Amino acid sequence: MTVLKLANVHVEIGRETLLNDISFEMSEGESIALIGHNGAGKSTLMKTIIGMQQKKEGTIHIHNRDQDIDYLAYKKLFSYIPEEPFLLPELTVMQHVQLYGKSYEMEESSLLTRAEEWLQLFEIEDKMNEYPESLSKGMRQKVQTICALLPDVPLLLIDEPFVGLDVHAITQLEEILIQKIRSGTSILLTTHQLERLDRLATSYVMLKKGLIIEQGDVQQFKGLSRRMEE
Amino acid sequence: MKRTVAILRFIRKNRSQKKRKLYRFAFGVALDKTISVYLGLFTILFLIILYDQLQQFEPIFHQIESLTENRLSWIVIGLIAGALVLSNEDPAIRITSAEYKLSTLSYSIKHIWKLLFLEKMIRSMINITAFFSLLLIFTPFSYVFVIKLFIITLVSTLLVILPQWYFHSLHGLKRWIIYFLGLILIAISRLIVITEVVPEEWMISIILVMLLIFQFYIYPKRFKKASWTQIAERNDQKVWNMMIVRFMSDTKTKPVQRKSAWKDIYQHVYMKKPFRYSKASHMYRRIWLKGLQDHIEYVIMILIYFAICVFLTSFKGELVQGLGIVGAMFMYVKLVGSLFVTVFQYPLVHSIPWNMRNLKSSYMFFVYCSSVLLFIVMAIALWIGKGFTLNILWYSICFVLALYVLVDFQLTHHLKRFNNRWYTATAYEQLLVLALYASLFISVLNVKFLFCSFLIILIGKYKKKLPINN
Repeated sequence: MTVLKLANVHVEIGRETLLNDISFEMSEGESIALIGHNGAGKSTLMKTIIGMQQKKEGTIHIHNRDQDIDYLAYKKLFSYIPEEPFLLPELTVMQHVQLYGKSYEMEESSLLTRAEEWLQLFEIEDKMNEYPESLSKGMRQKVQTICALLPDVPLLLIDEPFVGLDVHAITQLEEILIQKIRSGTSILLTTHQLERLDRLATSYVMLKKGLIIEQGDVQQFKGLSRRMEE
Repeated sequence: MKRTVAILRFIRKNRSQKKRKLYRFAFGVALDKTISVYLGLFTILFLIILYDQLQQFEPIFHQIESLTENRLSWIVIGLIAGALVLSNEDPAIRITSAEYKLSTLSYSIKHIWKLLFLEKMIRSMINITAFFSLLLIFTPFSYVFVIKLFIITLVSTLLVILPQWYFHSLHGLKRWIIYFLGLILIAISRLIVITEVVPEEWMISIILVMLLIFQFYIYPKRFKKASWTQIAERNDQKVWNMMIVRFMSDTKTKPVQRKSAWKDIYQHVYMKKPFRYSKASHMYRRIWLKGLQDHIEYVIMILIYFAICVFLTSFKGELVQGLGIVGAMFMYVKLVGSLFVTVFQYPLVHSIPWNMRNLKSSYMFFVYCSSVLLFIVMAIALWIGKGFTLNILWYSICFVLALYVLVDFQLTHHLKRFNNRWYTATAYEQLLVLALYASLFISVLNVKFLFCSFLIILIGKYKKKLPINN
């Protein structure tokens, strides 16, 4: 079943083209890594899927919900972990958890069980009633990650999942993501850490100056990059 | 110190070069040579007309002069109060991140601060002198009066720079105690003047001397609680907030994060408690509160524009008053609608699903709160325009209900637009809104049309629909 479908997506800011004719599909339980140099358009593509960046042309569907005409239902089908945490300074960690839970219409009991488990796992259970400004950047990233992982959504969008996290948190997050993929969640992630690709991603899409220049199986990509190094 | 002066000059020079470049670029987008020449000519023409017009109001200016003469201490009080309020977000002395970074090199932050303090004083002097020179040239105020006003304003402005800096670094209970004491002092000083224990001139001198003594008290403490990174961040926003460039380039800037009052409230122990999960409105009200607080100037502007529009037209007869009230309502609805959209631009809010019913109802809570104020404003304006009758009550109720329906329509329209990029209001909806405005206008001329307005309000209340997928 197709979870995410992008067709001829074109994004421009002023006269500059940021994404040009981007088309690809993702099926259930598939994990795709968006790779490319800085400025290739990975984060712009993420923001376009979320709706933070307006597209000029093309269509984006999640579970057949069109981003342009059914945005409210579309929004309930994905969860997003940004590269930089963007928590609200007026809400505590627990209040953020509640906001995410309520927005994704989660039951209070399952929300609390899950939140407590992951707050412990990421070693920030004592920060529940703290405001983001009293947390380190890594801790804020952990909070943002936990919040986005709380709901069971068909699609998880992750911009640089391991940036700012400590080694322990990276391992835990990797495990959670693998579990999510096994349970049928599709994951679209951007990363520069190619060594982690084969554990997390099944396929890759390579971008260059806003264009898809290559896509395929991760194993194939690993082989290619090895040959290039030789 | 000489090295510090040289490096600060270097920073200033580069900053003004960059700003000039940006302004040139921004004006280049909007103005060519022909437009600039016309604009210049129009400005000169406008100034001549302005001068001519102002001279015609000479008796009014003399009246203002004689009224102000006995209330000059209010200027000093106003400037002190203004500095206290401004200190929430403006440290007054422009230490930006560039100047702050110098302190990590071999420059003393104390020297930098001293020089910038001096710069602020000189700038204030130049600005005030320029303003009062214009007042002297263009208005029929007497020389003695303008010079008196100039001296009082200049001295007060110079004396509030340091307190503004000092109060900027204060927060918590201490700040509120100072605000409270300030209010009490103002009340006492007015009482003394009213009861003629001390004449007005003496009171001005007393306040200024007290302010001067206060400088000596706070000067040694000026760095004690200064949070330099926050000050630098705030000043960066002030220095680089170039409205024209922003407008021309359609760039959105991060709203200034307000500290103090708002922070004191939301960091209270009670506010740290988790929300009641079953009461989603509490959660969303907190987000709206942040949104309103981040755009407080905009909120105040909406209310002031509304009041001005309604009051000014209430003296000009029923026709103009009707137009004024309907115009003010139209503007209020549009502006409140624009304010509604701002919260969705926060990255966090944008990235999560929108529980529209809750988001809308929690926003409407603030609209209800403001409608109490609007009710009073409209009742007073109608009283002025129509005299004291029972109808004023019906008018005010009808207008406030109409505002509620119109705002509701506007928000629902935004919500539908959020859901469907191509959504446009139906002809029926547009007609209903138009009919309501028309009926409200006519009802000012003829009270019987109030019934018609109530009827449209009822229809409007039951015909609106929220986006289907929520």
